[in-house]
Amino acid sequence: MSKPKHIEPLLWSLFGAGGMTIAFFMTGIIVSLLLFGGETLSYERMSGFFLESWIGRLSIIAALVPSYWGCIHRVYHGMHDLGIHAGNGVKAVCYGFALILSITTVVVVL
Amino acid sequence: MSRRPYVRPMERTWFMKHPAYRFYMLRESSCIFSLLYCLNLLNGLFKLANGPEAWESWINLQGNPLMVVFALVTLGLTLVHTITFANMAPRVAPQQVRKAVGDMLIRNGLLGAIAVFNVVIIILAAMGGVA
Repeated sequence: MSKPKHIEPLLWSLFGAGGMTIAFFMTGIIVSLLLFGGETLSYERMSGFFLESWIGRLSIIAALVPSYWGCIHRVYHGMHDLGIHAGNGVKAVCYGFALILSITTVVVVL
Repeated sequence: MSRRPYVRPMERTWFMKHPAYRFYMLRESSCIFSLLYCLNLLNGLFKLANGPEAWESWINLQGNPLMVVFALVTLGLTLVHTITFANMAPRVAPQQVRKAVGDMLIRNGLLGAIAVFNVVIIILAAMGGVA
């Protein structure tokens, strides 16, 4: 049995998924929040959708969780471009932060 | 590690020297804004879970001029990300698919799907979520 030795392919696929979810969700979300105020996006409607319906819960999880991983992956690798050669400690902090954000998001909507 | 590889010194402003490098850095900077915006959205989810008053204050915060500027910058960089993402899609697509349908169809098909998806989000938001 071959044991997976590297975590990088997993991180890379999460990064790829993040690029996808930012492209598919973020423009629509940002434009909506710029255009519509508290009347259209009322508490009743938004909590009913994002906190009570499964479609809403799963969509906000799908929109946010891979995006965290994608962004943090790019922030981590971007440090290298800026001449900061971070070690494993910083790497653990970065991806640990992504993990915490992911768990938090799932817990808040459930 | 026992070996100490030679690291060629590089200025931190290396990317300012060529337009392609500058564009690369502009595109990569989108991840910082996207991350901050995601944190803003997560904060919004927290506020939503905390009740109507907390949600109201978060929604009002989104209309704060500084937040609007931040949202507009994030929006611009998100569009840069989206277009460059679609441009490179043929290169990461399965190469059999790429050969069969061609680069332009993959790129434009993905961009079209992304556009439709985002428009649907805005329409749903205008209706105040799914009934």
